[in-house]
Amino acid sequence: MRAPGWLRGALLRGWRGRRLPPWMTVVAAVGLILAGLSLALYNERQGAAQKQRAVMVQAQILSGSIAAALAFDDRLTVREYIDALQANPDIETVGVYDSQGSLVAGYAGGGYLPPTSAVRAPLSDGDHLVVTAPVTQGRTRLGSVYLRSTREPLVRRAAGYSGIGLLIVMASLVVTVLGASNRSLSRAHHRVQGEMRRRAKAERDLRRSQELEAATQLTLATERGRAALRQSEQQLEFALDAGRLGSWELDLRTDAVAASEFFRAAFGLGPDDALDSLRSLLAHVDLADRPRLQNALSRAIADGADLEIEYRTLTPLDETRWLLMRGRAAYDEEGAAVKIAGLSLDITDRKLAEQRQQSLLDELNHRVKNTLATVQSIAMQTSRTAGDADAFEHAFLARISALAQAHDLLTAVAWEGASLGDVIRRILAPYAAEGQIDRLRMAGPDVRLGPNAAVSLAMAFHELATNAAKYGALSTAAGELEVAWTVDRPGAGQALPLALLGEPVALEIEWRESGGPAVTPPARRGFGSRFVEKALAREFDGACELIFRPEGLQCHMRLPLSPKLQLAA
Amino acid sequence: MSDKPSLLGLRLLVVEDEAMVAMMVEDMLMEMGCVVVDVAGTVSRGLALAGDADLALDGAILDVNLGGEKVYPVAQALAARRVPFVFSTGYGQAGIAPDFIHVPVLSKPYERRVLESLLLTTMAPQAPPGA
Repeated sequence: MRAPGWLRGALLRGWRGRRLPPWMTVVAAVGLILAGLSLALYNERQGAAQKQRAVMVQAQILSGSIAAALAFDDRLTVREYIDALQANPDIETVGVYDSQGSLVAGYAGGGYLPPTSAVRAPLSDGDHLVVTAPVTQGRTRLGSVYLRSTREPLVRRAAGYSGIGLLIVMASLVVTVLGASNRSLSRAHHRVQGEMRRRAKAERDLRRSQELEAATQLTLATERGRAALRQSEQQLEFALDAGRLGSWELDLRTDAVAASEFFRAAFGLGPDDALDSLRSLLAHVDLADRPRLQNALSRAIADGADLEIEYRTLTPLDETRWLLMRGRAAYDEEGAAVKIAGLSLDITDRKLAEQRQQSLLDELNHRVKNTLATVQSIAMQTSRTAGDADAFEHAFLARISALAQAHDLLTAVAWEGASLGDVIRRILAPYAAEGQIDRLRMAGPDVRLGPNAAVSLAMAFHELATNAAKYGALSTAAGELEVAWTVDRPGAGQALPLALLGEPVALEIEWRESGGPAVTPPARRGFGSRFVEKALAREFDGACELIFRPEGLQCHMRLPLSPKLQLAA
Repeated sequence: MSDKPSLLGLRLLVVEDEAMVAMMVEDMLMEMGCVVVDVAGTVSRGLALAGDADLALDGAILDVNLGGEKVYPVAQALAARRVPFVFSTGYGQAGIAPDFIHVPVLSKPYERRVLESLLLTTMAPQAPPGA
């Protein structure tokens, strides 16, 4: 059985969560009770009317049945009809009256039997119904009948109505229960729905807070990342700066070159000078190194190998600088080279130091070989002139010692040269060490000697000093030695101011012995005089002369100034 | 005169800036019978001698480094006169300019035998003893 549409609608609405209000349930219950009461009242009335009609029909049947008997005053027959009625338990009292209204026959089953009749309208008296009917034959009134019938007992009727009442109560209960259950369902539904809403809201809030949290984290992370990036950028910049490292990048798709300040500086270029393409970069590379750089770049791009190359740059001022360039190519997903980038370091100072070191090594090698050649020569010359082995040993070691003195002076200044005064003082030191400094006089301007000149002059003064110690002024306590050197300029000797004299052209050295034994020119010239007069003069392209004066030996040297013999600045 | 190449009477120029070494070379050459025409200690002196057309020369021994100056101008002057020469140096072959890479090099210190054979191969055949 289908529930009525409105109920279903209400239930559905209820189900859907619209709560059925409690007053509606009460109204529905009251309505049901009122409807039940109305139904019972209506049923009571209908039952009474129907009973009245049935009793009326009974009375008319009796009236018709006894009309003849009454006309003939046949009391017995009347009696029989009345007795027949007694079978009907509802008929409580029956009376038949004649035309004068006197009782002919009747019985009263426990009720009152009126002694006279009067036809009147049916009368309902609570549980009883009284009906009267006339007895006629044609137009002649023969008498009347009186019937008093009992209605259905109240208990029976009440039982009947209580069924209806029960149904109504049940319906009310159903409505109430439905309402209640609907309410509770609705409440439960509401609770569920509320719960769902709360959960949805909580979920939304959670999601929102998670999103917010994530966004905050992301922002924080981004900021931290940016800060870290900035810091690392600054650190990198500082490190590059501190390390004087340049950075460079060549975009292989656009041929654009990006170069940092230090990179540009190695090419003698400022921030505004053009260095924007590989072509302009190569234009600033030394011609001799250009193909090497091009090959190195090509290789690094082609096979991804690390680029490392040292090359010379050409600055706009035609200065040559050395640059160490390292880098590596980068590729896209397809493996096509995108760019090549890296760092650079100006290694000009290092290269100069390397060159200097190499030249020092070459120079040292040269010096050693030359020194060996000098020693070789000393040995040969000494062996030619020494009379015996002892004399050879003595002279040879003395000459080697003089050579060593010169080397000492040269080593002190990395073989760049020595001072003439130092050379003379060094060679004469053994003769000045005995508290006789007064007998040695040395004077002259500061003259710089190249390494070979220092060695040769040291050897020359050694030969002169040895000779003086053997035969000359240094052989006696009274002897004196003066070594004086001057620089000769054109116009000197004309008493002109120094500023008007020409550039110095030659060094004049005077070795003058005095106070020693009387000197006589030797019969045979030895190694010393040959060395001084010939070899030394040739070396400097000058002139040297030994003059054997009786008061002492004099040596005059005139040596033109040259790179190996020059006035100190 | 024998057909054998000989250094006897060979007129040689020595360019050497170290007095002591120059003396030794001079002595060695004289002992081999050569005539040491002159010993120059500077590039300018060497050039003057090499450029002197009146000075007969059969060969030259050139020290490469003359107190910081290179001897190459003298070498060019000699080459122009077709005078054979050898270099002497403590630097070895590595110290020679590319233009003169074919010129024989005499290493210091000198060995008399090496000096003699070098002079024989480079100078004696082309330059028979002069009058």
